[in-house]
Amino acid sequence: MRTELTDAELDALLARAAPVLPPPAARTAVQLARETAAQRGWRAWWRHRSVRIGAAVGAALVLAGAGTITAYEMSIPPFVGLPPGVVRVRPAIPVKYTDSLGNRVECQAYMELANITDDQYQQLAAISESPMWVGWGDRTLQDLGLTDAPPNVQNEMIFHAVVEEMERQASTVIPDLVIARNSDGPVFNGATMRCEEPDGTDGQP
Amino acid sequence: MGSPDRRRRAARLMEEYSPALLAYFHRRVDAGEAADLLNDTLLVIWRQARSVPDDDDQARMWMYGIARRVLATHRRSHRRRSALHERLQAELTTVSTEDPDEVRALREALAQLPEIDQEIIRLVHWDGFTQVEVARLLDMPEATVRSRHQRARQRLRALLGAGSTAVRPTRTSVTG
Repeated sequence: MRTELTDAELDALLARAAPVLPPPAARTAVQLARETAAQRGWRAWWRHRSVRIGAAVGAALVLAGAGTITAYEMSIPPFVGLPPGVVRVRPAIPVKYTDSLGNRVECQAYMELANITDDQYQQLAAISESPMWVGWGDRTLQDLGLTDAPPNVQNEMIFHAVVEEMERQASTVIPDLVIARNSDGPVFNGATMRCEEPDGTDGQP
Repeated sequence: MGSPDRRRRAARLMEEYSPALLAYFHRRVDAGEAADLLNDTLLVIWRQARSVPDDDDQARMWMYGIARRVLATHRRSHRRRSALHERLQAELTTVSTEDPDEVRALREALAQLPEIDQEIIRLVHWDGFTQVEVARLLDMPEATVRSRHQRARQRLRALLGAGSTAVRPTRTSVTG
């Protein structure tokens, strides 16, 4: 014979069916909350892409010695060394966006090139300061249809997109630029992007 | 409210609600993932401490809103794992209890409902939200939540009644 539960019986059954949290897990969850609240609020990470270039490339630029250059580069943002003969263009390109968890992510993206003149370096530096980068990160996520993607996917795709845009922009000021391959002429060797996710209050890098 | 005050408030709320948020995940994903998701949720809450609403009820809704977004976007890679986090996973995965037949039948019936109706049932009956709060959390009209909730209960009742008389619960009082 079919029987139907009353409202009260169904309420009781639903309450009993809720998976029960083991008491030790509940206590550990509170400890985890305390541990999280004890942290400083910044997280930083890097993305880097470069190619190996031939020894002849950029040899004329290795004036101070690779070791010294590397040590210097490691001591300043983005805290990543460079192959001999490759220069990193400063200032960095500012790339900012809000990820799918609502966190504001702030990145600095650096072009890395070989065999460029001082004038070309200055032109590339001007690209970094262009107003085109204002809002570029959020627009790019929108254009890629990635506003709801997981944060690490968003960051990876932002990096790919910024490298493509760097290559495009650099090619406009250096028409004979080659991308990521050996050449005696100007070479776009790669890029480094350092990102930080601030907590918006009193964090430090 | 200044930043230090908001920090303290966020820390207090995180402590107060961490077991409930863990339970929220425990009811929706497997035990190992629940620890991951709680970890991520607490990090997001802490990073957004400045945005914690002043009102406690709104703060609760805000935290569950974050939990929902974390659940929707979670991935298991690139995760920071502390010793406490590992312990929590172990505690969640090692405990196993034999569920009574009627509870198993209820869970099986629940699994037959559309996902949105399952979520409404879980939010109301397991997480303790009112139907108005559920509507806000799910970004749905209140009337829709009310009607779906009512239909979901009718469907559960029908499924359980059609299955067996053995599903009649042994106690009738509603507990939290």
